[in-house]
Amino acid sequence: MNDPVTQYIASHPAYREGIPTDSALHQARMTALAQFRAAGFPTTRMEQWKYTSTRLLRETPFQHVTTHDETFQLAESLLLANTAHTPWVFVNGRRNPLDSKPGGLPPGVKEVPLPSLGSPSDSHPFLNSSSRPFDNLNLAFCEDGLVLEVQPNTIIEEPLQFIFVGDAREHPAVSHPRVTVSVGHNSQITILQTHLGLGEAPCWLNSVVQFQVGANAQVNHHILHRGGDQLHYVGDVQAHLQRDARYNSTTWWLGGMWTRNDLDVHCEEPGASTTLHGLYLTDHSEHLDNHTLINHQVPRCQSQELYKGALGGKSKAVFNGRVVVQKDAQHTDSSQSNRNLLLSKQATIHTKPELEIYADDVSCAHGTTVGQMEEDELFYLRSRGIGLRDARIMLTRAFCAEILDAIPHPDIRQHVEALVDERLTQMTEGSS
Amino acid sequence: MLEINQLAARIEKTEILKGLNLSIKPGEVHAIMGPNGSGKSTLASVLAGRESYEVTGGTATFRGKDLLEMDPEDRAREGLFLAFQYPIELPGVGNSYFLKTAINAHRKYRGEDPLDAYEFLKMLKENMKVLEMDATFKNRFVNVGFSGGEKKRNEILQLLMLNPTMAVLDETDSGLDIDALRVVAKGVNHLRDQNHSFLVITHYQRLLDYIVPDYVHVLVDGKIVRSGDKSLALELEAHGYGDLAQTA
Repeated sequence: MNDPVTQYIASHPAYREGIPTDSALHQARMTALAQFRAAGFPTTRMEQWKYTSTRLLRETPFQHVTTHDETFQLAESLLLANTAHTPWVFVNGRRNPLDSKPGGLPPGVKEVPLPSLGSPSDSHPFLNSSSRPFDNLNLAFCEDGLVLEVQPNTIIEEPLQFIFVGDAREHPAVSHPRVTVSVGHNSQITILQTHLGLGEAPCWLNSVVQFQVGANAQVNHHILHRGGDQLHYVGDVQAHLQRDARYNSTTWWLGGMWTRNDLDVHCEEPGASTTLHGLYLTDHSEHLDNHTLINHQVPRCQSQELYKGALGGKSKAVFNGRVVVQKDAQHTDSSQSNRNLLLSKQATIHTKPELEIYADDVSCAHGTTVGQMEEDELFYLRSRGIGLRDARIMLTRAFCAEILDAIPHPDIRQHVEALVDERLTQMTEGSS
Repeated sequence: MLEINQLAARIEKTEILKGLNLSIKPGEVHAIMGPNGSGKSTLASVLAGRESYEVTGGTATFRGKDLLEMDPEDRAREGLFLAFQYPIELPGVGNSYFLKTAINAHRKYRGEDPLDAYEFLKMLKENMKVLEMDATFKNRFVNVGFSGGEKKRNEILQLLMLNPTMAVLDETDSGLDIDALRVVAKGVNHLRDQNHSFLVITHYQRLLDYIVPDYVHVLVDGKIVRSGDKSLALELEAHGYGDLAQTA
């Protein structure tokens, strides 16, 4: 098979049609394409990809595919009950022009059309890509993109919803949802971002979501992976925090064949804080790699991280939590914890805290546990008449409780709890 | 109800029960007393089906069925209940949710429909009142942050909610003050009638002032060496196990 990088480069001209070559968007895409070409696909020889091979992405002939209307309708079913405002739905990278709700956009939220993004000399965050190859691939090939601006002093109670669906029927399909959200000072928003893979053919969702969080603003971000037997998911989330800004995210991973998440939070001004939670329930031969980076660049920022996972079947999960405390970031208060419950003998977790501390007056705690279900706890439940399988589900559910209890928004909590409960009853026992 | 014949059991390589015989009929309350290490807790664990204990001989039948063949959950569903000496904590498992799940597991086994929410809450409230338990208990996680006395009370709450025909109380009185003891006994006596039997394992005679036994047995070195009525307990309190330990 031809080198996949060459394939992508060769297919790009078709994407350039209709975009003026002197536009910032075009320039940014060409730069991204060149960067992707130079870097190629990550390999397991790179430290950050040590436990996660991109072989499946390289060897599967993913291509751009058409989208069927009925898939957009199905996407509707992924929304929260009582959704009044317009969600943003990407199916195979395309947005549906018919996805408006009677409530329209919430007040204070504006959508910025892509062609109007900046001039080549003054680039908008949407047009910036990091050194990561898949971020560059995403920028080079993204079709419909989304740029949102939340005005200052705007508090929105109802969650804003993003839905990313990949639907691969006859051919392996790849798509690149790309979203940038700027949140004005003092504003507060909650985002529910849902991913789903459909179809019998392999499907690759390669998404990039970026936040610019203004002074004293708050973003609550729920990332819900609803799975797909053929779904390969690459997720790049970046948050840049200004003074006293807060970014809180929870990653709910409930399925998918192969996933790599990179979640970066940059505390760029004093007083910023971030709480990163994760819950992953892996099974069968699923592969999940959660990489996080919290970058304390300035003094007096706070970060807290708690990722919990229950691993069944022959699944493999990776947790790599990097915390960087730069030289000037005195009085940083950071804590990180990863707790894993192995439900079967063949499940594997690779867990690694990575702390790089250059300041000298900081508090940085970290801890990891890996364990099995307590026999005493199981016996206690069984001695009350609860069968072994139900007892295991109850204890796994109890393990998840801490992350579920932390959801402030009742609609999201109800929605996610139901999905977690469903996933728990479906998970196999493995040979423990 | 419960017939135990020459029961022998060990943990790892240590023999603990060495031919224990016991027969409990419906409606009877039996007490077992004995020095430390005699096998009291082992007996409770073996009856409940804890896998770390290996039965090396003898039989135990419960309501005519072979108890030792059954999984722990089936023994419970058949009507056997063990109140643990050291009830463990279940972080993340709500008390109320736990009780409801257990009750419905029993009901399903008997071919009954699950208890509806209203009936369950009513039953829970009534039983919590008998045990003088604060209403907030039902919302807490099972045994998490409970004092010793609260944990024991929670065991008896489960007893009342599950309504077993045969309840084994493993040193339920250890670590309890007189008030807690009184309430625990109140709960047990609440259930006491000709359809319910109790096996009360205790180190101290004091509990038996409140839960008056029909029979008292002395367990020494894995065997029952003497049986009598409630006056035997008073005798043990006065004279200790000394003589009996020698005859074992």
